[in-house]
Amino acid sequence: MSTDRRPDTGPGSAGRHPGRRSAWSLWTLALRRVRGGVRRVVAVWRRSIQFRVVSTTLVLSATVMVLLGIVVVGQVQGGLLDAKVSSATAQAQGGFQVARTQASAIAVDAGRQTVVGTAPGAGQVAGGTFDVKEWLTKLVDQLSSGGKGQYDVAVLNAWSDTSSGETRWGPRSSGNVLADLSVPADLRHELGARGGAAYQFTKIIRETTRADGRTIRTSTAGVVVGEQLSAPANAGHYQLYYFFPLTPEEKTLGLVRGTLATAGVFLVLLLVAIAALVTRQVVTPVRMAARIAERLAAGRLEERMRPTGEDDLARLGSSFNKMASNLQNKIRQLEDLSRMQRRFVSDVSHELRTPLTTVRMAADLIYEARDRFDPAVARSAELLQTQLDRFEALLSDLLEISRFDAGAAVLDAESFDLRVIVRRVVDGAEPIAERRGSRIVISAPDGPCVAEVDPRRIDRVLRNLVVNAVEHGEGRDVVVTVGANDDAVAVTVRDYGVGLKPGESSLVFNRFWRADPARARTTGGTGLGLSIALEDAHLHGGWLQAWGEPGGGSQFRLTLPRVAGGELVRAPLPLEPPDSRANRGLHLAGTPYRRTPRAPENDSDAPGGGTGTGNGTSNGTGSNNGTGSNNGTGTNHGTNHGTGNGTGNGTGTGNTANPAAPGPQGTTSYKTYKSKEGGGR
Amino acid sequence: MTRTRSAVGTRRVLRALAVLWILCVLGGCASMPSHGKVQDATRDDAAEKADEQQVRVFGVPPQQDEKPTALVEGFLEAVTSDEPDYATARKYLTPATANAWQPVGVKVIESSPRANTPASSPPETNMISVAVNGKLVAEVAGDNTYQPIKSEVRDYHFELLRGGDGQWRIDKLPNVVLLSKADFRRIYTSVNLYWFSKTSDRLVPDPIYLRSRVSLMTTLAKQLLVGPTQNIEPAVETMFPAVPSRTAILDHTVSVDDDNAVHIQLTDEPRAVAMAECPKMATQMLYTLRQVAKVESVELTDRQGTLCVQFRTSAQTYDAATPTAPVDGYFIGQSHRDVWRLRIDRASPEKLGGALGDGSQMFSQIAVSRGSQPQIAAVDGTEEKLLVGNVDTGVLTTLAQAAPGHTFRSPSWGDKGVWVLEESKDHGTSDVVWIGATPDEKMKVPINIEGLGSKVTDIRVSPDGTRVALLTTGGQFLYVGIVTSTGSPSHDIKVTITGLRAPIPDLADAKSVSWNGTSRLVVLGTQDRGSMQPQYVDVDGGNPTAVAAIAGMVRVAAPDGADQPLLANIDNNSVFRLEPGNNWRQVTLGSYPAYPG
Repeated sequence: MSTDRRPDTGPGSAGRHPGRRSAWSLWTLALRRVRGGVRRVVAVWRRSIQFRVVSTTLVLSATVMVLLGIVVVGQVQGGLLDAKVSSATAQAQGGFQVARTQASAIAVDAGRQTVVGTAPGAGQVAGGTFDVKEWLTKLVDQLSSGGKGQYDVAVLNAWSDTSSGETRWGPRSSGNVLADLSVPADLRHELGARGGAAYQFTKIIRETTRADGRTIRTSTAGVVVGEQLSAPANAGHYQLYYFFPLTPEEKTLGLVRGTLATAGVFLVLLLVAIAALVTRQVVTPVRMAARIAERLAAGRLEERMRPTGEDDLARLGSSFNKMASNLQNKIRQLEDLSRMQRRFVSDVSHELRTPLTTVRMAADLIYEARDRFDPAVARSAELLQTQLDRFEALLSDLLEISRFDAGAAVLDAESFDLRVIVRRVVDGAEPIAERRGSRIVISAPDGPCVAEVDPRRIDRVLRNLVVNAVEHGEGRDVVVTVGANDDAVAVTVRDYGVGLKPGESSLVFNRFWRADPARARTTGGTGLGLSIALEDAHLHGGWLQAWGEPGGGSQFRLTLPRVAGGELVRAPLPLEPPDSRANRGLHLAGTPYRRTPRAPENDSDAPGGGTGTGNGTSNGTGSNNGTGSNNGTGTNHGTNHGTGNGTGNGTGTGNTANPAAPGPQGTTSYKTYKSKEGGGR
Repeated sequence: MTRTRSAVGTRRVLRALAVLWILCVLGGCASMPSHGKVQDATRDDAAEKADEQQVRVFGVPPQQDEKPTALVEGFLEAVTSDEPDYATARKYLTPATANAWQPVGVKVIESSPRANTPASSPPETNMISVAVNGKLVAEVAGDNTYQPIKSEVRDYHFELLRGGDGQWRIDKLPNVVLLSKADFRRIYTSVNLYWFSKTSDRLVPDPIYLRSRVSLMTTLAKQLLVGPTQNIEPAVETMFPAVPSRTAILDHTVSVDDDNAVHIQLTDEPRAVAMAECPKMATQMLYTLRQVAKVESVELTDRQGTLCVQFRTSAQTYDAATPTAPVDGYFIGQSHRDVWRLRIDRASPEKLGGALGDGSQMFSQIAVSRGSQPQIAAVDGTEEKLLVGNVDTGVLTTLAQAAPGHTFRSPSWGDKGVWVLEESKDHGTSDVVWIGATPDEKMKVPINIEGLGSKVTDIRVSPDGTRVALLTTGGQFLYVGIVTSTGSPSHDIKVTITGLRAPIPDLADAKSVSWNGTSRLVVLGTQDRGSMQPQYVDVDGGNPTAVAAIAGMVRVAAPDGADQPLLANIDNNSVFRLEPGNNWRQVTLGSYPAYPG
């Protein structure tokens, strides 16, 4: 035995830790599964009305059934007990009456209690000395013979008589009942103290002997009814008890309980099934409506519901359909309108070019002959000339914009070192900077910052940024930084001018937007420069972002992927310069613009910031002839320089009220502008 | 539109009404039935319930500072509780006595034994004697046999000692259990052990008394292996071998399984000695055990496996008292010239055919043989001839002629012949003779009765042929004796009746006796100063049960089976039958009713 066990325990103790660990992992696995199940259930709970209704019905109906069951079982139990007690007391009273009658019969004729004829001479002896023990035994036998299995009878000494030796005898009982244990002491005491019968609930204890001689005690709940009676022939008092086991009542109760439980389970299941069916009737059309609405939201405006019947859901469906077609109509109307407007702008720009050329020629003639006019007229001629320059620039910018809107802009990408473009642009802006009394500082890495770009467009973008920076730099330095990483190159242009107020960094790219409507325009910008720059950046798949703080200047950052069409993840340079007031620990006067909340606040390098600003003026659908694009850009360059030369003649008072509706691509990119001109930024 | 709507409405109402109606009908099914067909009321198994229902008395241990008389009475009361080893009663004894006291037998006393208050003794004494007296009516011997005793008052002495703690305890007491008659009936039960007759393959009951609550079945099975009691031992043998040593039961307990089968494991003797007798052993066991439980089969095994299995149906062939067909009663017609048959299933009697019914012969007494083709032995009108005739053919032949100056009386059928009294004509003496009834053994054998000092007036042979019941004129009026024989009918046969016992010692007169099965008698007699009354009594005198009496009873005839009614002869001219409910009813005119036996 021990040799058998030892190899058994050895591996057991050695493998206890792995066993525990595996048990632990099993436990955690189970826990994870349970958690997963719970999560799934919660998810289903959140998503499915039907599940919610069905499970609520299940819980509520089960609760109701349990409560009902408790009440019904309680009622039945009470009724059964009442019936049992009344029948038991009636039965016992009958028995007590029999005992009394027999006792009085013996008092009259003391010889009658023995069976006649069994033993001649018995009467003699019994008549002389009445045997109370035998009489009691017989009484119990007689009383119990009528109720086999239903009740048992016992006699006990009267409570007060237990100590007196004369009439002492052991308890007599039928059905193996241990009467002295089964009768509660207070009942015995009570019966001894007063007359009449009384009953009490108790445990009826029986002792049975098995075939092998061992005794077994069993106890059942029951009612005991007793009364104290006087034995015949002055033999003192005795207490007669009837024991009624509650076994049949318990059986009945069990039957009721079982029936209720079965019925309850079926009823609950039935209710759940009904709830499932009913909610299905409601949920199915709702689900259909939800699906249709999702499709509609996804842009499939022609989707409609199919209402059947005339109930609430059908009304919902038909009104939903009406709403959908109204929306569709409105959207179509607005699309048509915006297309018409873009076309109108494009057409107008085109149509204006021809008379403008004529006017230009005439004006050139007049301008060249201005020396011959009196000074006032000569002044007018000069004015005419500058405003014509401006007009031309505006026109070409408009043409460029409408080309973007029409989606006609094409990227002419080639590998180019950005530093070269930057240097060229800075060289070009040097004269303006000198005039403003500021310096342009280039900070570029030693290595080449090559990217696949359209140099003409990047040139235009950077020129715009640098000129803007110089113009708003208030004579302070402008820092142009070039940076690169593995998949992107970036150029930032930093100035230390008035900066941007909070929220303005999102507006600077709007068409004809100006920072301060009241501020006199000192430069000759068309108000479309930054918009065009943004379009250019997007054409490259890059970002153009603005940052500024009031009094702390501003910084613009152009980020471009190294490979055309490549995706931008992060920019090599931070949008907020390291010498910003916030970074220097000063109070936070301005925050970088971010449109989508997903971008973290410390840095808008995330793509959300860029794309968000870009979407505002994304490609329109306006059509334009692309022939004038080169000219346009040419003039654009010219105008930039020209405006630089031109005196401050900003008369544009128009506020930029062009809400770049951020709709789905290609659908809602229409603009309205009330003013003729807008500020540079 | 409105029309269809109203139509739908009425249809809905109709449907609701139909559902309501169905619910009402179903609700009717849920109420209690008030009528129905007649059905069997099954009876509970009485044997199992009997123990449950029996009144049980619990002993009370001695109280503090109990007086000597109360102590002895408490002891006598505690003995009547149903404890196997008298545990409570022993608390009344001194420790040494409690260990040593092993009561042998029971003294049954008419009423509860009374302890007499001892003569006043000095209070400081530490020893006292208390006498208990009662009218002794019966006793159970050490081998559990019961013997009624002509009642007499006896004294039993208890000596009490006062212990160191000042409490009285019984030190010396009789080595028996004193019980009142009622307590004895409550505590003890009469059961039969079954043996085989030495002369035939018949089971012979041997009644003993055992305590009914103390694992009766096991005790009974073990008692069977002990062997026959003195009462019957000369006439019977047990099939359980006693060589080299007595067969014993190996099981701890004997119990019935769910199929009403009993499995008993024995020691090795049966396999070694008497394998062929195994079915008879099992039969003994089955008949013994089926008295206390429903037993359908008995399987005897030993350590090596099954010895044999005996079923109740095949065991019945050994039962002397089991009739193969309903047994008819017979009586002599009013004219004393014909014999009538009283069929159990017919209301009116029928006359037998042939010489038994044609009036050619006078009959004074008859006896009917047991078996499927009964024969009638009849004493003719002169009482000098014993005739034998077949019931069906009615052909009568003379079997024997009484000795000169003698007459025949009280014929009774035994195994293979007729027992009859040969009485001198002056009624002075009577001898019991056995007359062989088979054609080749028509011999007359005188029977020797040991220890009988008075004249025999009636003789009845028990169905198993091992016992005879005798009515005599003096001493005890009723005796039961055992039949032993030596030799064979063909050669030097000697039949002796020994071991006479008186089942009813206080019988004052007896007119008739008849066997009711193998272990019970019906006796018509008077007890002490009572009236003439028939009563059932066990062959050992236990369980006397009175039967209703009517005036003028001269003879009672009892059948072997329990289901047939008693027949009685009133005033020698009418036959009465005992109806259910203990009422006698006249059947017809006639005399000398007889059942087979």
